[in-house]
Amino acid sequence: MKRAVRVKVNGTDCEQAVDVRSTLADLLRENLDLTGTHVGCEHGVCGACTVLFDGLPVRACLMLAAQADGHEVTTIEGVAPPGEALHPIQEAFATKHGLQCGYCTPGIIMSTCAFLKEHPAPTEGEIREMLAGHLCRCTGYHFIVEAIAEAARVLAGA
Amino acid sequence: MKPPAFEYVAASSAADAVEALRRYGDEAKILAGGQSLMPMLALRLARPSALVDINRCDDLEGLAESGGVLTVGALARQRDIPADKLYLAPLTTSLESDELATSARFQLPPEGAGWGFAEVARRHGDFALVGCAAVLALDGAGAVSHARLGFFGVGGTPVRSAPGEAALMGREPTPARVVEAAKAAAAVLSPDGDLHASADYRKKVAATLAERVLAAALSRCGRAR
Repeated sequence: MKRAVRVKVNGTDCEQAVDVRSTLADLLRENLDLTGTHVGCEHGVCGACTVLFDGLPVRACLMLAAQADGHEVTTIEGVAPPGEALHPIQEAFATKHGLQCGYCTPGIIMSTCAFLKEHPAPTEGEIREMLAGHLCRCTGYHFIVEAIAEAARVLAGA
Repeated sequence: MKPPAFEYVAASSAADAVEALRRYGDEAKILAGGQSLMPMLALRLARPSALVDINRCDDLEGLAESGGVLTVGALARQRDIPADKLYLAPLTTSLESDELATSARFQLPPEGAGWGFAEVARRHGDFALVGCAAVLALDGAGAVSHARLGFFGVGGTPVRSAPGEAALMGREPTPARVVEAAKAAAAVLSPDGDLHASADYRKKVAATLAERVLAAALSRCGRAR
């Protein structure tokens, strides 16, 4: 069973015919070639596929593509437009070594985008609580926490 | 894994959703937030032939308070089910295949009531091994005038504790009496043991948590006017 879905992805209107059992992650990766959204566990545990849905973080594996009809999605590809400088959050992950293999990173950055809007000056505890929704098997999280704290400082203009 | 194939129905109202449920008999599942259903589809633990998506049902939205009752969801409903008759087992309720829970209604606690909540889980945000919640209110003389105590993770359903509540109602909640109430509440629990925690351990944790949440609820109580 196919269904037409109209969705605004990273500011661009897209119309796609999707299999109704396709997830939002499938739509992004397979129909739109936006492979920056990584798929880890495919059942809502690891957080790798996190994207912004109408500005709020959601797991793209726990939402059907058909449910995104009429909504707006931002992926890691939309955080800083192609050809332009990295977003301060991305920059902080690079300078603070907040990633190793990089598999979990796009999801964490999407959550961080939403998190820092609500918590512009987060405590370490708040950062760690937000990170509880993401699994990283390389870093031990320590440098990720530092990267997010650094991004908060830069975004606040400190 | 990917979910097995299904048909997708985007319902526009509660009536529309119920009509779809009738059409598919017990082969349909309601899709709301997807936090439980989507993983079950991905693991193929559930294989419904149709999903009825209620996210576009405007009449199922909203919060309302009236006469001391908080209603979450729509006011339209066909049958009221008390919570202790709704939950049968994990992921199993007493709803029939063509029924839809259109709202949840909560009696608001009395003025000045205090609350407590605590849980023990292996990892942050994981399913609780044992959890406990309490609401208490005191009358002008300092005796307990309202007591609610409930557990989760100690059986297939949430468990409200009649003995725990009875041990406090109408009495002054001295520290000794709080301990007594927590013990009485935990004594009648019969949790299952599993890989993560034995039944004995769960019972002990339940008594400890009950004591803590009752103390926390008391510390938040304001006296009635």
